[in-house]
Amino acid sequence: MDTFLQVLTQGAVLGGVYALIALALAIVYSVTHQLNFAHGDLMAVAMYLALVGSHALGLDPYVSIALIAPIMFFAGFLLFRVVFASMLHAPHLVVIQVTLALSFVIQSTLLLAFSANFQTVHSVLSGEILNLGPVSLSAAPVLAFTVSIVLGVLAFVVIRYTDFGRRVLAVAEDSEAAALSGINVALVQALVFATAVGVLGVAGPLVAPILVLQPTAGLHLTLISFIVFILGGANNYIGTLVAGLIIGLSEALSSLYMRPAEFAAAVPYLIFTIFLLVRPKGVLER
Amino acid sequence: MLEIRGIQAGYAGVSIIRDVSLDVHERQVVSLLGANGAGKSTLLKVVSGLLKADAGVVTFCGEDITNLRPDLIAERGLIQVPQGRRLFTRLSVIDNLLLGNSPRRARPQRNALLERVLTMFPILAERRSQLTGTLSGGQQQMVAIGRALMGAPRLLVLDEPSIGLSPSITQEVLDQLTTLNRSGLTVLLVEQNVAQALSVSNRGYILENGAIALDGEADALRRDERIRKAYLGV
Amino acid sequence: MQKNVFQYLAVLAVFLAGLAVSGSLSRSAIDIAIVALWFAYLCQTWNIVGGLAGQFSFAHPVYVACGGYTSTILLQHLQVSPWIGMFAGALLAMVLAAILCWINFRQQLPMLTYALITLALTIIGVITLHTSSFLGGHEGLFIPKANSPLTFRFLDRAAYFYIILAAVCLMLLLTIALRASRIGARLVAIRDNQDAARMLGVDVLRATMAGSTISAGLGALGGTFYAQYLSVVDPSIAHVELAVQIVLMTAVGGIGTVWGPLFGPLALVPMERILSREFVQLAGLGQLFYGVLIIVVLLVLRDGVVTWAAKRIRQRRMAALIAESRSRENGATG
Repeated sequence: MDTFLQVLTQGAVLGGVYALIALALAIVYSVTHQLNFAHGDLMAVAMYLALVGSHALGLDPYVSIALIAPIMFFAGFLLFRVVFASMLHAPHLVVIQVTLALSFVIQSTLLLAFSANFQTVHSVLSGEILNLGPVSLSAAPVLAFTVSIVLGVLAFVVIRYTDFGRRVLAVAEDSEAAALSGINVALVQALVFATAVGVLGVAGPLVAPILVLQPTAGLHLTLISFIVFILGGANNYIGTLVAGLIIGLSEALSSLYMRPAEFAAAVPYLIFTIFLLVRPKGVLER
Repeated sequence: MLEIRGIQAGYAGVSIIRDVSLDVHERQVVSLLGANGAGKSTLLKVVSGLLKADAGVVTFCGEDITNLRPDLIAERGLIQVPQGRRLFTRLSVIDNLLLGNSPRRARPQRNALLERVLTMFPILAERRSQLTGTLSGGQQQMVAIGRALMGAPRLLVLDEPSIGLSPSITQEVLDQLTTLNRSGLTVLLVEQNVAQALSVSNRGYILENGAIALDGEADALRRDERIRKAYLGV
Repeated sequence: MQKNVFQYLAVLAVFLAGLAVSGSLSRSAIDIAIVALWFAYLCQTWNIVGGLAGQFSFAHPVYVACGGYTSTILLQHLQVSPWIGMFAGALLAMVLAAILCWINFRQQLPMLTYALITLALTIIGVITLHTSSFLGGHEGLFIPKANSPLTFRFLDRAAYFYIILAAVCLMLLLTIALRASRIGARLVAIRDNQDAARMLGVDVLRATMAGSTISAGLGALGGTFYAQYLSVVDPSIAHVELAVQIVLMTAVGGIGTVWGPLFGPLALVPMERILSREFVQLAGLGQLFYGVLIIVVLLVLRDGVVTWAAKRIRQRRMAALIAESRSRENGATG
């Protein structure tokens, strides 16, 4: 029973992080209609930045967020202005090609800089255990989960209750009408993109102590966020969270029960395929 | 106030409007009239910055605004109520109005502007938190005009406000425009509905096949034989 | 029609040029040439659905693996020659492609779902290959080297070169014919606007089903070839990276064109190989260079080199025609 509960909680923790990065993807998609195949690779960059911070500067990954998140934000802003803005009116296929190439570039840069070896990052919470009644949990994933949920709620509040959030929704629904109302659409898009990359800059160092770093780690994260994004029904907060939890839980549980255990990695993709068969419109879409 | 000189524009290299010139003077109501496909919306897109002009100049309050970004044109006080209203249907009435307050120049007057709009359209005050997608056509048009007024326009441009509205509601909307004009607002009204539009205008321009066919004082146009035959069905 | 004759002649020229250079290639150069042509072949087969119909599939590695694994298993267990076994692999790939197509297009799902569902299949496929002991797990299956043309095995590498060269030329012919055919026209209509195509009476499910099964079957044949050429088939053949490379190489050449899928790999594969060989200690440099190049090409030329060149030629011809007609007018008046 103990292991079961523990695995369950770990799955939920992973699911919360998945939901957060899928949310970042979804908000960018809503204002630019671009699906970024390098989304997870950008998160991998943030994870490696945490590694650099830890090895070269002796910074704890949680402390390095204060540096990494702003760096990622500005990098995201530049990336949008240089690459993504020029594709705003291009067909989907061009966006896929360019972002795939971008993913390729990021992966090979990481390979060049850090080699293909698996690497791990240590934090103050490494090895710390939280005892909650019958369950004892590693502290690092719990922190990652909590921060993810807080960031998700924060995003919701900003979008719902601030002037900037209102502009984001306006651009998402009708960018031309938004422009006619005096909204600088290109700036809103760039800021949303930069914020999403900034969020990856928070998520990356948070999960760096939990996951194993390798240059190709981004692909899995990209695909998981796509799957969660689609299962959740685009632009649906609760749906995204539920889908994230489903994927996280299924991944954790199948690693416990599935034989051979390596096959657990395929489970999110199987679920995705089955979902498309039975409910092609997403989890919560009526 | 607004001077359009020799504008040529179109899509994918095909010109839809050619050599169009038009003037709107301060405190006037000017209507731009013409049948479907005459090029009215194309011209408005050029004026509001949504479409690049292939030739010609648009000057607003003495400043060349040709091919400027739409939000910068709105910032200068030239604000358009787009055709079909184009409200943000998943947002409430009040959110739509507040979004109209995006130009920096208008932001300090946010509360005064909002109060004015809500006094002008009391029904919007009642429905302030309703999603605009669920409003009636007439109410949606009020939100669209209200949203534009929130940007403190110096020139208000309306693209076919009568579309989808009954004649009596259209008349109400036009009456509101007259009131706004009396309080000092300049209006450029784009319409297919020639009779109703001319009845509230000082001047009119007739656009046919992408070029100005006729222009003059509204009263003169209403008496013009060709217009009576072609547009008023008399 | 005239244009097609010209294109058929160009294919013949490519084939003859390939034969002509084959004798003078060094051992390492011939290996690079074989890999480049193999990539070109895969890009060509992918191009049928990815290019003509604009439906990006990432399942090609799975189809390739179907070919390589099926023919090898048939050879090892039942002594079936890969020349025959490869068609069994093709059949398996076609069934998989048909299922994927059905899942996606029956519900008229948005285009991106097809990309994702094919990606999902590829990942499930790779994991299956890694975990199945029957399929050799991580190590894969080995094919003993021999000089036995009847079982698709040659000690002389040139033989593989001739085979893949011929396959690439046949694919060129097929693509030319397909573009001129009714099914080709339907696939292009789907790419331009799926809903409009549907309204015009194109059966989208049937057209994409036909296109993607052909594409998958031909891709599987390429898998058997590669297994025979390397004398081994392992899970690396099914990695997602292969699908990404296919998409990107075709994109650089020109998606949906006849010559793009040939041009892209022939330009990029040797470049990447040579860079990797020259800078062995800098793993990833070749790929980095090649990725940046792709982004630049895509952002500057948008539709790949071949499409861009075709547009330039057309523009120049138009300009020439206009100039000619102007001078004729001037001549008439002057």
